Amino acid sequence: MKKQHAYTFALALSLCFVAMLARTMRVCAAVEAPAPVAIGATVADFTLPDADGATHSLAALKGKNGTVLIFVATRCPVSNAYNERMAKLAADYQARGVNVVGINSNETEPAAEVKTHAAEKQLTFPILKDAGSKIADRFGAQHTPEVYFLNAANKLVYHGRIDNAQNPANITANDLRDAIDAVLAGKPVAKTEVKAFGCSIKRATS
Amino acid sequence: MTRAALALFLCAVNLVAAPARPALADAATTRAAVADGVNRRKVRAPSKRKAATIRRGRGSAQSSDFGEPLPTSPVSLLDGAGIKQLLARGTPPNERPLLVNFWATWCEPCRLEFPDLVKIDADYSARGLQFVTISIDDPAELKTGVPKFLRAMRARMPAYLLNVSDSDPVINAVDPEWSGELPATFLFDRHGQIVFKHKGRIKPMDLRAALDKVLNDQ
Repeated sequence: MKKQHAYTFALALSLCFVAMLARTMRVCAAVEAPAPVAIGATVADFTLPDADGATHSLAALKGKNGTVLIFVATRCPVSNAYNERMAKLAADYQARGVNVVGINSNETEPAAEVKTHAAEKQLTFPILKDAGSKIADRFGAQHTPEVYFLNAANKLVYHGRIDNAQNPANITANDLRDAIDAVLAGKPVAKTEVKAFGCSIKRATS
Repeated sequence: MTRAALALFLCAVNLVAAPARPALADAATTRAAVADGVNRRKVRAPSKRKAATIRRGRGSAQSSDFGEPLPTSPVSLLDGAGIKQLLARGTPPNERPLLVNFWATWCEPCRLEFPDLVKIDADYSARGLQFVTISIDDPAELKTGVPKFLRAMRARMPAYLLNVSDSDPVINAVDPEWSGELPATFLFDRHGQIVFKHKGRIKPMDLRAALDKVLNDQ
C-alpha cells in the first residue's frame, strides 16, 4: 500500500515539475519578443522573395548611398494614396545612389495580387513579399505606408511617414525627402522619427 | 502521503491552467481581483435620473421605437488643442473614464468592429463611461461619408473628425507607443492613465473586461 502511495506521490511530483517547466517556457517566450529597430541601429541583412518568387537580399538591393524600405499594401487607401509619390521618389533618387524597396507584409494580400497591383500602379521599384510578416516583426513595423531609411552602412537614420498629407495638395512637410537630402549632403537628419496614420499591417495573428 | 500527492496534483493542474504572467503581475492581478470583488459589492447602478442625464449629454443618432435611425447631431471637427482638452482627465467635466476609438471610413477593420463598439457604448454609457470616436477621414467627409456611416451604425457616441495638418503630435499625445495604425482603441481611467489599448479590430470580451475593471475601480 505504501509503495502505491509512493508511486502516486512521484507521479504528482512529476506533473508539477512539467507544469512549472511549461509555464517558465511560456513566460520566456513572451519576454524574448524582438525589440523594434531603433534609430542608429544597424539593420542586419535579410532575404525575401519578390512576387515572382525570386529571392533578394538587402545587400543586393541596397543603394550605394542609402536604402528606403517602405512597408506597402495593395488594399490600403493610405498606401495607395502614395503610389505616385513612391514611384517618383524611387526615380528621383536612384541616380543619386538611394534605392527604394517595397515590402508587403500583409497576410491578406497574396504575391499574385502584389504583382498585379505593382503593374497597374506603375510601381517600378522592387516589392518583396514578407510571408508571415517576419521582417515587419523584426522592424516593429505597424502600418502602411511606413518608411525605414537606412544610410550607406545600413544604419537606420529615419523612420516614419513619407510626408504630412495623404492629399498631395496639402503637403507642408516632406520628411522623408528631407532625411534623404540630409544624408546625401553629409548632414545629420533633423527629424529622425515622424508618425502618421495608416492601415494596420494585417499579420497572421492580428 | 495521499494528501501530499493530491496537493501536488492540484498544484500541477493550477499551474497549467493559470495564464502565463510574471509573478509580480500575478500578485497585482490577484489584488485587483479582490478589490474588484469588494468594489462590485459597493457599486450600485446609477439612478434613472443620473442615467438619463448621461444620455442627454451625449449627442448623436438615436433610434426611434420603430427602428428608424433619427438624424445624428453633426460630427464635430477636432483640432490639436481639442484633443488635448479631451484627453485631460481629473477635472470637470472630464472626471469619468474615457474610451477613444480612432477610425476611418476607408479602414475595413474599423468598419467591421464598429457594431461591437456601438453595443459596448449602449452597455456602458449608463455606468459612467465617456466614449468618443475620432475619425481621421478627410475633412471633406465631415458632412458626407462619416455621418452617413455613423447613421447606418446607429452610433450614439459623440463623433469627431480630426482636423490637423500634422498628425505626429496627436499620435504622441494619445500614446507615445502608438505608431498611428488604425483602428486603435484606448481606455483612459479617470486620472488620464491608459489602462487598456488595442491596435487593430477589437476583441469585445477583452475590452469589456477592461471596462468592467475601470468602472468598478472608480
